[in-house]
Amino acid sequence: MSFNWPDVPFTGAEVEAFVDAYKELAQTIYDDWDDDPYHIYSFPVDGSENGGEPISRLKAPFRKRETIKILLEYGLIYASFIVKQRAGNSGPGTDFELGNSPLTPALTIDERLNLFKDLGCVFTKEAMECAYRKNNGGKSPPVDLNDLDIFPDGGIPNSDVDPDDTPLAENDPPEDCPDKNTRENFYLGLGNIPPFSACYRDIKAKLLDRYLSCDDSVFTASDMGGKKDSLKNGLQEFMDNYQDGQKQCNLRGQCVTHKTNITNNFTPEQKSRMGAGPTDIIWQASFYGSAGQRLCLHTMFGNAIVITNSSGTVLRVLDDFDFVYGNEADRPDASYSGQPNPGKKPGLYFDPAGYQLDRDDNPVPVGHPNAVGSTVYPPIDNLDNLPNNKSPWSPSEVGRNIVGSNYIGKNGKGQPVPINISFE
Amino acid sequence: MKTTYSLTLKHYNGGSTPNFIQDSLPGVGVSIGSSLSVYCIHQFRDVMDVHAYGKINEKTAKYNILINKLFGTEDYIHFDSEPAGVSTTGYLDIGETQLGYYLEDVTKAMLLAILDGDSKRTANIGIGTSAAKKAIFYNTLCKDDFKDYTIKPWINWNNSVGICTPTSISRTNNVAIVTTTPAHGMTTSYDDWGIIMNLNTGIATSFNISTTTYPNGVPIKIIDANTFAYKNTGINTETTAVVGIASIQVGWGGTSNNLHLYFT
Repeated sequence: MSFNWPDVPFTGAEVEAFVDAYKELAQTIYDDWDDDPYHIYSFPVDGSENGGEPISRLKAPFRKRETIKILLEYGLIYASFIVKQRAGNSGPGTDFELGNSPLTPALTIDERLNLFKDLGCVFTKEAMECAYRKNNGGKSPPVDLNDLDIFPDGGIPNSDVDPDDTPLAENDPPEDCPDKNTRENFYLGLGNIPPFSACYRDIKAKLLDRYLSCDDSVFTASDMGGKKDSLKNGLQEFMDNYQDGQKQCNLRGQCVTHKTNITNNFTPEQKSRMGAGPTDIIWQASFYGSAGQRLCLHTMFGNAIVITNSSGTVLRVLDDFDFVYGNEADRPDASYSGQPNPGKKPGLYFDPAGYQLDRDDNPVPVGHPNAVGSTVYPPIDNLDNLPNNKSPWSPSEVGRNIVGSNYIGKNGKGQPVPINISFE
Repeated sequence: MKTTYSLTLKHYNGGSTPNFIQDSLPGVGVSIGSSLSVYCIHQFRDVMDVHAYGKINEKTAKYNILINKLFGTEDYIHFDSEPAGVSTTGYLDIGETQLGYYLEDVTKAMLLAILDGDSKRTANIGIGTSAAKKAIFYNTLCKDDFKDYTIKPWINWNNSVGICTPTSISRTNNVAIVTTTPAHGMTTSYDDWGIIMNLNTGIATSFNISTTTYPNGVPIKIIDANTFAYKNTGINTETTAVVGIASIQVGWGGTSNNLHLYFT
């Protein structure tokens, strides 16, 4: 991703060389962020410190790449100005004389309005009316349009609906899918409240709501609300970040392949069914690597199919919202993730031959204390004594417990949801 | 992005610590002609030090620590406005002042990483690999426990460039005036001088500068070849003979680094 650099109004050999060096270094910092863990984190050697987790080396405000990017962009002007002053040249903002040389940053409309608001100029109806009344105490007050019956129906727009006529019955879930209980509704509601809603948790709450409501309608871009662009940017950054087949391995040799070109696995008819054009590229993506986790894609998708055009622009993402510790999508018709009408089957953990993996990728029985990853099994509503010292109050553990509990309860609740989000 | 944050990032000082030009030139802070204009000045809040400000306002910090523990992230900074109707007022607030500090810290880190030598007074690009420059950038923004004192900025930023000998000192309205014998040697060609006072006895010690708080000293204003002034909180004190030394330091620069802006 490239920077949105501001125009630098200073000229001269020194400042121009500095601006070039600044941009080059900033781009390097940004590009190498995920590859510079030893600048950003300290890794305890014996595992005793900080519970074995990496320790942040940077101060709190500087630990997020996107924050650094913003600060780097806006820091360029003043850094350049200092170099300009040292070089002894003249120009905008330098050798200031009132009226002819201050620098004028470009402002957006919102910024300009905010500036005027700071000066006491608030251009809202209420504020202007208040100012008018204050400054014109002896005059007739302005007419309030709301006092006039200018709409024949009393002011109610024709698009409003009568709630008594709403066909609510059409949206009722199937009878074999019991209503969500209080705990589930509370959990889903929490996911929509900032800051819990960050990192696509509001979207995941919507998906889980469908899963628990046994609603298998395809989750599309229109269900993303205002997060569609954010998701596209995240996916684009992820795809731009890696080469085909690029892997990331940990110290135990466990690897994830960030993205793999699987276009050749599909016939033209299959590509068409997936929404891919003849020249588009189909990628198998795994978001469990560093960039995927940083971009909050790993818990949203885990793995997914991403379709790009031949230039690499992300066009679509396909996945099934399902669980190894609940119900997984069943597609015996050889359909693909994200396509309508998925069946369901027991997740891997509840398959008779199911197993979990320990930290060295050895299979262990489901629920074994050495198992890593999701840990869901009875007691259904009791999150005490979770293995691996997992927090019983972690939203992730609560969510997993909800999914697993419903499976174990065999109440019919839990339908995989296809995800097919187009960005075109 | 929250509008007041984007204004702050454009060096508009109209946040919680306004620094309008009318403070020094009364009556010209706001101009109303065919349009409204605000004149202001941007300068580093700390013109001597390079120590990054790593703090977040208490309410936001406590809240984010809890959230980050729950979700396993280290996402402390949120640039968006708080959503209307949600009772999180203040919990997600960076604060315009703090944001200005963070911007200053990154700006200094880049200057330190790119410019030659100790990065003071020079406009020349330093030699060195991208990796070395990145290391300086990160080294400027890291926690104290992880500072690498073998590279910039910590290897040389706080180095003294000389000493002078104060012989008398006074304080009026929290401004100290120091007389040195012989001349202090600081030229008015630069306005980036600083001082670390180290006086020996009695009331004179109240004029001393703690290097814990001010590792590169405090900025001064040169009065003449033998006299300079610096801000120093304390009771008014008549001119008093003193014994001790003062370390002469160099920082980023004074009014020469005032970036004059007008927003319209």
